[in-house]
Amino acid sequence: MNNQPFEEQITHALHNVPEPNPAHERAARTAFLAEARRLREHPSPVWQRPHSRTWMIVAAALLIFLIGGFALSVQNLRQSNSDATVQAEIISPDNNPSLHQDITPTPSQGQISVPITAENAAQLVELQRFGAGTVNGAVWSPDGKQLALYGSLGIWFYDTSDFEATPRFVETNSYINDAAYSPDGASLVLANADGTIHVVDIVTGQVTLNIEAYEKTATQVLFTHDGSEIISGGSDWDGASARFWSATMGRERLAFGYSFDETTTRLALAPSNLRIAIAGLTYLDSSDYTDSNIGYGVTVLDIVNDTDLYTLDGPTSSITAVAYSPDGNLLAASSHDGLYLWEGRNLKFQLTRVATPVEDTAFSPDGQVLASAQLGGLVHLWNTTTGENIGTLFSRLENHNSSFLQKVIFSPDGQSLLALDKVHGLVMIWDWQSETVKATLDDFSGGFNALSLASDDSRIAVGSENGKIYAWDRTVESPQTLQQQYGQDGVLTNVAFVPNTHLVAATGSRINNSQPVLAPVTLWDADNGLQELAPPAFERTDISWIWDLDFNTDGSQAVFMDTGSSNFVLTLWDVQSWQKINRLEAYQPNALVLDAQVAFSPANNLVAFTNYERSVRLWDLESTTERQLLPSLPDIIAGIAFSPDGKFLVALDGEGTVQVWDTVTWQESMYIAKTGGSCAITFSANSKLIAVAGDDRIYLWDIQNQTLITQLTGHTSDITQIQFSHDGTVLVTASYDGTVRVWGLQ
Amino acid sequence: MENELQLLRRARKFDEQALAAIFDTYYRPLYRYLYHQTGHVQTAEDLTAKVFQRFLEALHNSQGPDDNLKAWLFKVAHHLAIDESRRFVYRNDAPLDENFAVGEIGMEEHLHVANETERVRLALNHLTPQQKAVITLHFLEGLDNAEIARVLHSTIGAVKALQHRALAALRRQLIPQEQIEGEPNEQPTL
Repeated sequence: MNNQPFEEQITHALHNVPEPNPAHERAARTAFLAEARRLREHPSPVWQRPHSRTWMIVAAALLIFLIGGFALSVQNLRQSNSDATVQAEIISPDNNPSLHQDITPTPSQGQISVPITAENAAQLVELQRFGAGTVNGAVWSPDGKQLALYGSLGIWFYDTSDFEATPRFVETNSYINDAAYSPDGASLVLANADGTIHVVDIVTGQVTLNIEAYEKTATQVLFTHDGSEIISGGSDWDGASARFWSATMGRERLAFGYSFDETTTRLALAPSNLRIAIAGLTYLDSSDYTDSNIGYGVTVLDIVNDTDLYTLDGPTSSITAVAYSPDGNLLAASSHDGLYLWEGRNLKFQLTRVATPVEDTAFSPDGQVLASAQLGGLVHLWNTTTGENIGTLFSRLENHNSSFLQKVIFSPDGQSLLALDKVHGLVMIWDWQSETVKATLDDFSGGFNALSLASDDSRIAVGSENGKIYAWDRTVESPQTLQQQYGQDGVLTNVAFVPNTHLVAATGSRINNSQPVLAPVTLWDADNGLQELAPPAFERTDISWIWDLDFNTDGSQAVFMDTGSSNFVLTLWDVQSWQKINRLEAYQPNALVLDAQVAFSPANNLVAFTNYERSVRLWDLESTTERQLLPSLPDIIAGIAFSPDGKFLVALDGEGTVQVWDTVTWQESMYIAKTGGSCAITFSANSKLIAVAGDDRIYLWDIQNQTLITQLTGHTSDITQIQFSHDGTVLVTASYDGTVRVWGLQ
Repeated sequence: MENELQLLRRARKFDEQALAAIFDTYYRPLYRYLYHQTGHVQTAEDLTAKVFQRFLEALHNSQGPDDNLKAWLFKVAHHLAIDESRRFVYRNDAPLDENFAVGEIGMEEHLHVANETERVRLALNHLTPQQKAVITLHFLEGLDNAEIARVLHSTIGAVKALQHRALAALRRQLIPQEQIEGEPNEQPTL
C-alpha cells in the first residue's frame, strides 16, 4: 500500500468503478417513471406487504425455463415405440406361499383413467390425499378452555373438557412452525415455514392479517403481553432476525439480527414487555468482537431503547428454548447439554446431569416448577427455588431412544402439562401433580420418507420417519388407514410392493425390546390389515443392514443394497427361494450412508446404484464386478430411475440437475435444469415425461422437448418420494408434511 | 433537495417530480454498491433498475420506507445482490470479476501485480458477502452503523463486529505482515 491512510485507500478504491452506460440509465429512468404513472392510475385495492417470495419463485421458474431451453441436444431421446407394460404374471407359490396373491386391477373411485401426457399435464390437480399430517406444536388458549395443535396441514382446536371429541380443524395450507394465542384469546398468530406470519380469527378460521415476514422461514412467534405487537423469529437469505410487527396492520417496527447462527431463533419476552431474550451463538462479551469470544449464550435486549443489556453464558451446545418465569425474575434455557436457570445475571442452577439433549422448557404459571422435555420421552419437573428434581413423567414412548419430546407446556391453570413428540405424532397431557395421563392424542403422522404403488396401482404404501408403515386402498371412497410399527426402535429406510402382489417389503434396522432383530427385510400384507408375514428366509450371514431394495418387473428377483457390513455389497436374490444368485462388492462405501439407491432396469439385466455420491454405477447382473462408473453430476445424487421402456436412465442431484443417459450408448442425452433442493425423480409410464420433486413442489418436464410443462403445489413440506402409476394416469407423492397426494386429471 | 420525508410523502402519491428526484439521487450510489457486490456493470445496472421497481411496488402496496429512504433502498439492493449471487453460482458463469479472478497463480501474486485500486477490489472479493456489504456501505456511501444495521437486518453490535473483522482481513491482505506485527492490538475502529 502507498502512504495514503489505509481507510482512505479503501474509500478511494471503492469510488473507482466503471460508469454505468448513460443510455441504460436513461432507459431505466424512463421505465421507472412510466411504471409510476401506470401504478398511479391503478391504485392497490388492498393493503398487503410485498410478496418477495413470489418474485423469487417467478425468477426461479423463469431461470429454469431459460436454462431448460439451452439444454443439450436430445437427438438420442426418440419417442418410445410402446408404452410401458407391467407383466401380469403371478409369482409361483411353490416355495413361498406368502408371496402368492392374485390381484385384479380396479379403477379408482370417481377417477377417469386418462394417461398423463405432455399435452394434458398442465391440467393436473390433486385428486386424493392420504395421511393425517404432522403435529408440530401446541398452545393453550388464555382461559385454558381450548387447546390448539398445529402442524403441516393446519390447526386442530380441542375442547379441553373433552379431549375425546373430534377437534375442529382449520386448514391453513401452510406448514406451521409455531403459534401463539392473542391475550384476549380471539386470534392465533402462526409462524409458517414459507416465511409468512398469519393471524387467524379463532371463530371464523379466516386469516385476518398476512405478513410476508421472512424470505426463508418463520420459526417462532408470540404476542406482546398487551397484544399490540407480534414478535417473530425467522430467517432471510442473509441471516436470522427477531422482528416486531404491529398486530393490527403488520407494520414492522423493530428488528434484531442474530449475528451468527441462522438456525437459532429462540425468543422469550419478559413479563414487563420491556425486554426480550434471544438465545444462540453470540459474542459473550459485548466489548470483545473476536472469534474466540463467540459462544452459546442468551442475550437480553432492551426493546424500548434498542440496546443489548447483557449476555448470559453457560451452555456449550445448541440452545433449544428460552423462557421467562411469570414474575420475570428467572430465565431458563434448555440446551443439548442440559438445563440452565439464571436469576438476573447470575446462574442459579445448571442441571447438566439430566438426560440430554433437553429439547424444551417451560415454567408453571406460579413459577414454582420448571419442566424440561428430554430425550427418551421423559419430562422432568424441577423446583425453581431449590433446583431439586420433584418428579418425572413418562410418555407412552418412554425409553424409546428415538423419542424426542419437542415441546412442553403447562395449562394456564397450572393443573395440566402437555408434551409433544413431533416425529411420532404423539401428544400427551398429564395431571402432573398426580402423574396421571389425562389424554393421549396420537392420530398424527410422522413425515413420510418412502413410497410405493402396487403393480395394479390400487394400493399405496409409505414409510414414515417414525418407523411406521402405512397403506391405503385408493380405489374405495374412504380408505381405511392401515398402520404398523416396523420395529419398536427401528429405522425404516424403504418400502416396496412385491410386483403383482399387495405385499409390502420394508427395509431398515429393527430393534424390539432393546434386542436387535435381524430382519432387515420384512413383509406385510396390505390386504390383511397390513399384517406382518414371516420374513424372507435369508441366511443370517448374507445380509446385515439394507438401505434400499428393488424388484425386477415380474417380481422374480430382488436386489438389495447392503450398507451395514464393513464393505458395501449388492446382492441379487431369487424371490421364491430367497437363495442368493449373485453378489457385487463394488467399492468402499462412504463412511456415512445417507441416501444409497438401487434400481433394476426394465430389461432385468442391469442394476444402477449410487451410494451418497455424485456418480451412478452400473452392475451387469451376470458379473461379479462393477461394469461402469458414469460421469459425475455437480451434486450428490438424490434419485435415479430407468424409463419404463428401458431406453433411458436418469439421475437427479441435490441441486436439481437431471442427467439422462441413453442405455445403449451410455452417452449423456440431456442436461436439464435446476429446480431447487431436489430429492426424487420418476418417469411417466410412456417414458416421455419426468417428474422431479424439488422442495415442496413437483416439476413436470417434457423430456423430448426439454420444456417445463407445469409445477404442482400443495404439499407444505419437502417431497421425499414421487412415483407415476404403472398405468400412467396419476402421479403420487409422499412428503415430510405427513401426507401422500395423488395428482391426476379431474 | 427537499426534506426526505416530504419527498417520500409526495412519492407515495406517485408524484413524478419527487420520484424523478429520488431516482436521480440514488441511481448512481445504488449502482456503485451493486457493482461492488456483483462485479459486473450490466448486472449492477439491471439490479439498480430493479431496486426502483421494488420501490414502486412497495409504494403501490402502501409499503416501503417510513423514514429512512436511503437505508430502505440499500436494503433492497442488498437482498437483490444476494439473490443474484445465488443465481450466479448456479449459472456457473464467469467468476465474480474476470479481470481480478484469482486463478492458479494465487492471491499473493495477484496482489503483487495489480495496481492499488485493483488490489483493494481484489481483497474485497475475498471478504464474506456480509463483510463486503458493511465495508461498501460505510466507505462508499457513508452510511452509519445504525443505517447499515437496518440494511442488513442486524444489530449495531453485529455491524461493528463485521466491520472490525472485515478491516482486519483487508489489512492482512493489503499491508505487509511486518507492518501489521508492529502495530498495537487492533481495536474496533468505529
